Amino acid sequence: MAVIQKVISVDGLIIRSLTVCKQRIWVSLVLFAVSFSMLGWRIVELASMSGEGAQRMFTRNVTYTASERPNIVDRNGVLLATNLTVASLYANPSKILDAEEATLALLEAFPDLSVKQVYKALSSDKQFMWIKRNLTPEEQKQVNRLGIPGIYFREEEKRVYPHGNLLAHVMGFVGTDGKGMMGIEKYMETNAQKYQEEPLQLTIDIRVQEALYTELERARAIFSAQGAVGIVQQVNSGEIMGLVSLPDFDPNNASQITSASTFNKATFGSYELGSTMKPLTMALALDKKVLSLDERLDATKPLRVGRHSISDHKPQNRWLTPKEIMMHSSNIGMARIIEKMGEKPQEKFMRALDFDKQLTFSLPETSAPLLPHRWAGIQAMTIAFGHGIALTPLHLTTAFSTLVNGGYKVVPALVAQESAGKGEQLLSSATSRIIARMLRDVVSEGTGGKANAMGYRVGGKTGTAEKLVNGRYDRKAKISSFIGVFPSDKPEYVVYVMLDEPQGTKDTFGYATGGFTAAPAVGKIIEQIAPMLDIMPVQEVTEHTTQPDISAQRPRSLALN
Amino acid sequence: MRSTLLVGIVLLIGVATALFNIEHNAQFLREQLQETQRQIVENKMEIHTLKAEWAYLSHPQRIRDMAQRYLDVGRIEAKHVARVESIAIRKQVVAVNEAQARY
Repeated sequence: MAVIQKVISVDGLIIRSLTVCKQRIWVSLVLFAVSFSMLGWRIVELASMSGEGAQRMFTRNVTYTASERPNIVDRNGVLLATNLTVASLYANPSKILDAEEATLALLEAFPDLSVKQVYKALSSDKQFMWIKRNLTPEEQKQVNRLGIPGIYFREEEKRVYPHGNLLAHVMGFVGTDGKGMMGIEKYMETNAQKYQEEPLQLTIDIRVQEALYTELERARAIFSAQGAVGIVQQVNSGEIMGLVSLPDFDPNNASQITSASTFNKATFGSYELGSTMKPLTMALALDKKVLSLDERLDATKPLRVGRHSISDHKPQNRWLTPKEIMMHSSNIGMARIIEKMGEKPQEKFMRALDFDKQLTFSLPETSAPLLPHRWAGIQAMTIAFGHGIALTPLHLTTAFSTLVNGGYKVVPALVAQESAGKGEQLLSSATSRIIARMLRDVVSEGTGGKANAMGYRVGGKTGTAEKLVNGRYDRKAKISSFIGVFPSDKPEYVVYVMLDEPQGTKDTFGYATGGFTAAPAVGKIIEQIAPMLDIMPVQEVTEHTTQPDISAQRPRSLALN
Repeated sequence: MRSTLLVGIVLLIGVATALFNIEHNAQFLREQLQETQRQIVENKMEIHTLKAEWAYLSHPQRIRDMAQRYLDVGRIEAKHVARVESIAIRKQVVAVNEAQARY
């Protein structure tokens, strides 16, 4: 019985095995069939794929951006600041075989490193020690040639300013972490998102900046001034074409920067600017018809107001017309104007010119002017000739743009995208023309003669203000300035130069006034920038020609016949 | 039955070979593409550096120094600037031009 059962069992096993076997064969067949049909399908798919489909699959946008920090360019697209990838050298001391040998080898390549410091770094038990940062490609090659184990490169980004200190206060600089610490770099910290595709474009023209910088530096050297300020502004848009403050610094060497050199005298320093402010009150008085061009005011003797006495630097001792008041820069004349007009219109006008607040400006380094506690009669008089109120040069320059552009308020702009046009009209166009003419007279006949760049119809006003030192006015410490406008028949630009504590020279007969120190600089600047800015000169007839001057004659046909 | 199987096997081998070739070529092209893209990035980086160098070499002070040293030009003054209209053109020259135009 058992045998038969076994046979049966054996049979059953065989049958089951056969069945299992058959099942397995089928499973494999099916698997293979599926796999190969998948292969076949894939081939069909690949063969039938269109060109664009393939392109889409394999090309991604190959972009290269050095970093997320946008480039900065000038109004003509010249590169002012960019990030470059540089290699920095570090060591892993735990991998250095012989610290002494490595130190000597490194000093071969970099002789200005300190032996002690390098040896200390290489023999320390840390895993990461900087040796030298921001290597040039040449230096990199040298290190590679040395073949020291345990020394590695790390790629870093360095903010590079190709123009060095030419735009120091405008650009500012970045700290070691790459964050803007001052100037436009600091402005960028809060505004970078607007400039992902396009670089940040400034209103600055690098050629104008260069001319401004060179003449300012020259004037500072000649007159041994402590510092200097230069501003060039477009009168109709308020755009800043050039802005310089000396002393300055090199943004490429942020570690060498001192607080004195980073002080932006143009936008942050407040000064009693002196007579350059006279045209403001003059224009207002003419606009309000409180004053007319042919009347005369009593400037025969100093004016007593309470316990104060207002006198002139060069007393004329007679009655003066408004034009003469401006040409001879008479303080008494200006005080008389306030007597006629009162202080309220002046206060209103100056507040409208933002003299009571910080200017809205892209540079973070701006400050509010210092105003007198009360704005009564005597204060208004001193303000009329630029004392008793401390302004930043940018305030004054912007106010002058308003004076000569037809009387429209403008806001200073440094970033092209944020440039606004003319605002509300504060003075009539007629007044604007009259004051521009008056400024021209100051240069052609008055104290501003040295600013006269031939052919460019320069107008302007000199200013010489004594600085307050320990509560008293110091005759030896002056703020000498000149504010120029050209061309005065249809003003386009304002050029402002200020020297901080200039000293007279033999050539200036010992004088350090605005007319002798700042005005010539403005003249030279205008001579250089006018052709760049498409201002056509006119052939001026000079009065003192002893020889026939070609430039003074009317254009003749060229002598071809 | 046997012949079908044979044909099937041959086809199979053919398909497998074809697919293998395609994959191989695709892989090759993919590597080439990566290499080209890497070169593009490298070139862009070089261009970026060159642009910075260009800006550095175009520093107005440097141009001014070189102009003073190598060129015999002076500063532009008002007397050097004039308008085209102020140049009188000789009648003779005008006649010649007209004759040429007619020709």
